[in-house]
Amino acid sequence: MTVSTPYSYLDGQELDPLGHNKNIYSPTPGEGIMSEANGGLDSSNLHAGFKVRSEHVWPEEVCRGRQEFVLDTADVFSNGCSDAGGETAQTVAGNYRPLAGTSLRVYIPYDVNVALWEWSFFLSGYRILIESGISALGNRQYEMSIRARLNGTALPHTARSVPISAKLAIEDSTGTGTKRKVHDKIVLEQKNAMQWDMNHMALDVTAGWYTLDLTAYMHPVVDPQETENEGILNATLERVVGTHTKEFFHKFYQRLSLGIRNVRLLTIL
Amino acid sequence: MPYIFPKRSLRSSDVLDPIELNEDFIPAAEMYVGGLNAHNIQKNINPEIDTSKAKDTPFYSYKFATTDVSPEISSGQHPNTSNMTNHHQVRNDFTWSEIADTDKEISTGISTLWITALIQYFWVGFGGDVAALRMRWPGSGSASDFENEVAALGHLFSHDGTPAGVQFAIRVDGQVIEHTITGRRSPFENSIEPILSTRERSQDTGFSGGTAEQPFPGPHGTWINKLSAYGPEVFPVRLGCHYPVQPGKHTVEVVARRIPSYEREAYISDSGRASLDDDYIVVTTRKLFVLELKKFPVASSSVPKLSVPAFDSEDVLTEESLQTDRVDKLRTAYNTVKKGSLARGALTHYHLSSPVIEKNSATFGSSATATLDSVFPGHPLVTVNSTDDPTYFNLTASSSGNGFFAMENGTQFSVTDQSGSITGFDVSEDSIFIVTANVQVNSISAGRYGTSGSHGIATAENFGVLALGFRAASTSVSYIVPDGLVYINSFNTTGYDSAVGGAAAKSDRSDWDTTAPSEQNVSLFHVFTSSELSAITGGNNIYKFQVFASTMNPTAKADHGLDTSLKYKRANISVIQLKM
Repeated sequence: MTVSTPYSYLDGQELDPLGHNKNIYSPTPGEGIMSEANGGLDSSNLHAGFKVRSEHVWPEEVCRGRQEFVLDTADVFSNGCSDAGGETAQTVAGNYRPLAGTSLRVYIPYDVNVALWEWSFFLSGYRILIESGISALGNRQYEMSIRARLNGTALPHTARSVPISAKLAIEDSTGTGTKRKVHDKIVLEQKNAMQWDMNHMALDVTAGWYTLDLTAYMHPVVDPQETENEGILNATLERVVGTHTKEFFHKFYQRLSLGIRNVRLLTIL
Repeated sequence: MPYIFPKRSLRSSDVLDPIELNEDFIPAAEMYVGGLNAHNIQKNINPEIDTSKAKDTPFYSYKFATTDVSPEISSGQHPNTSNMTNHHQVRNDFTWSEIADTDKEISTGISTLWITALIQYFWVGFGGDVAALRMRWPGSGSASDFENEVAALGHLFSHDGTPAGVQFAIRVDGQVIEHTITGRRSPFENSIEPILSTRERSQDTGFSGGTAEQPFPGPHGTWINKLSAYGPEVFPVRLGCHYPVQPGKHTVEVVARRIPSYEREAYISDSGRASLDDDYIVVTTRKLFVLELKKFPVASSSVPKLSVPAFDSEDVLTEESLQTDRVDKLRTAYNTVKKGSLARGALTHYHLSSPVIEKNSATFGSSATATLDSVFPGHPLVTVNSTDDPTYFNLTASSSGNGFFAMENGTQFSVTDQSGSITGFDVSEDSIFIVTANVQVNSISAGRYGTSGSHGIATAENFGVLALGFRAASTSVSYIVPDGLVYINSFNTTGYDSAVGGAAAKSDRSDWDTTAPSEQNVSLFHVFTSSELSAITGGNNIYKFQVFASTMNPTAKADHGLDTSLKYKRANISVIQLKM
């Protein structure tokens, strides 16, 4: 508020203590050279040409940047995920699991206009597609997808499927409808390795703690006719051991591998 | 400075002591010249900010470099470096090297740099006259086998599953920022194939037959290699970081390197020419945006002079000594606070108004799939009015029309201001618009594996083109800027033999009849200046920013009458308009 000094000192007149005191400090708004400086200065006290310069601004009071990252590779396997919900298990919220190294928890100390969350991650997935004349397996893709969540709430627009990279041709070598054999296999995981950079912008965010994390879901590679091994597909596959090529039974899983990844937050007042 | 109060209240019988009298004036003067801080200033005063410097405000400054390069795809023409200009060839020798025109020098105080780059790469080797190259695998297969496979899969070097093997990163002051590398930390790291033997020991096998056989601990696992860098032939790479810097000049660059493709046979042409020379990555459109988030700037303001002399014994109290030299000076000072009177960091968030002029974000989370097969005829086939006029990109209202289609999945992938006003984004105020978008693309293909096996159908040669654009307010004209385009392709291709049909037993690789979709997240990013938008739209405000898309296939349409389809689901688009 504009500073005023109500008392005037005039030559030849007796000094008025009360008037002098008001010039120095007064509870009346605007009065006194000490009063307004005690937290009362506003835009009317600024010089007409005053403009905020960078040195006037307390650090990170307008823009803030935060970041976490992980360099080490992480392999996540499908046996860490539930198939509760059957064929639509990926729609069950609790089935998504957080991925190590793709979380950022921050305290935003004041209300901001925008909070731009960004996350980058290098991924390659061993995601299985089965082609088979066996009706129980049929022509089946096993879900593998990622999705971000903010403060525990899923962000549906961030859901992405991971490309299919392993194609298994499975036949019934006995004709009984029970024994599975991988007749052929094409793996193109290396061709599907990519870095994805995604984001989510939250608007008019109030001060507080916030957490963004990336989650993934991988449907277990189940065989409806399999009664053991938690229903995981069990099929023979040729392996080279020493000088021999032999068929062994194997259980099949999916894998999502994460390379270098980071999560970033930009907030602007 | 802390709060100040008079140490005594003058009363009528008091003796005027010069020390006590000085304590009435000096603290106020000291506070003024010593630096007013957050305690002295009311909240919400919203002072005007200094925008006298170009691309610089008290809160942030920015640098933006963008280069538009057309990949020169059109009917019958594959991505072709012979027609490109300003493209950058990535070195093949495993060393990090700067991508041309993606370096920016910025002078800072103690700051954090918010760095975002978008790099569009193409792996050269699409289509072309394969037979003319007369290449084959040395010692295995015939030239015709190779030609057929390449023709079926559409790329000279990826047809055997070899990945592009390119990494990108941000480099600051010569140091590659490790957490921005688009790959794995170790370029030669493998991952295990997640297939687990149900047996603990491999009985009846060993180094040799007969009695010397020794069982191994389990049948061995298999490893998958070449997982440390990009696989697709074409990809728009967005990468970024927050990077703290000390005062001084800093150089920010985007760098790339190619991971050696080990365990790979060399191509040798029948004519003896080593064709690996043609195996390289080119970067076309690229951009780098650096936003300096200021913390402790090096700038300072000179402290204004304010002389309030102290009283000495036997000084005469006059109108001049009390009023003019002290009270009036201090009153005037506090009514005309100058820039130097504020201490460093005097203003906090509750004093300042936001530099965000407008902002909004729109998300599209539908699980339904949308499809478009509109066709982008490519740069060479349309009339380019001028490099400054982006209107040469045709727009189409039909998802199967000729040109770019505004992507929609129930709702158009666009964002207005928060009120939805048609004049929502005001371009008259000096500002920048930071626009980002992400689109989930499920597949790009023409036809389906198993229906036709000829060149250009189920191959890597199906291209999708996505673009950031905007619609002017009063003219309702939409625009796409050339450097807002990104390209993707149908990278998830596998072997195909048109001669073999599906068989129930699935006993042969050639029976594969299921398309493996090229699932991907497409990242878009651009920074528009208000003056640039104003110039493009003729001074119109912006109604909305939106995502357009189209497809390209150099051969499928011409040879087979098939359109390339782009399937997509989810997306989001965000805009921040920042005062400059």
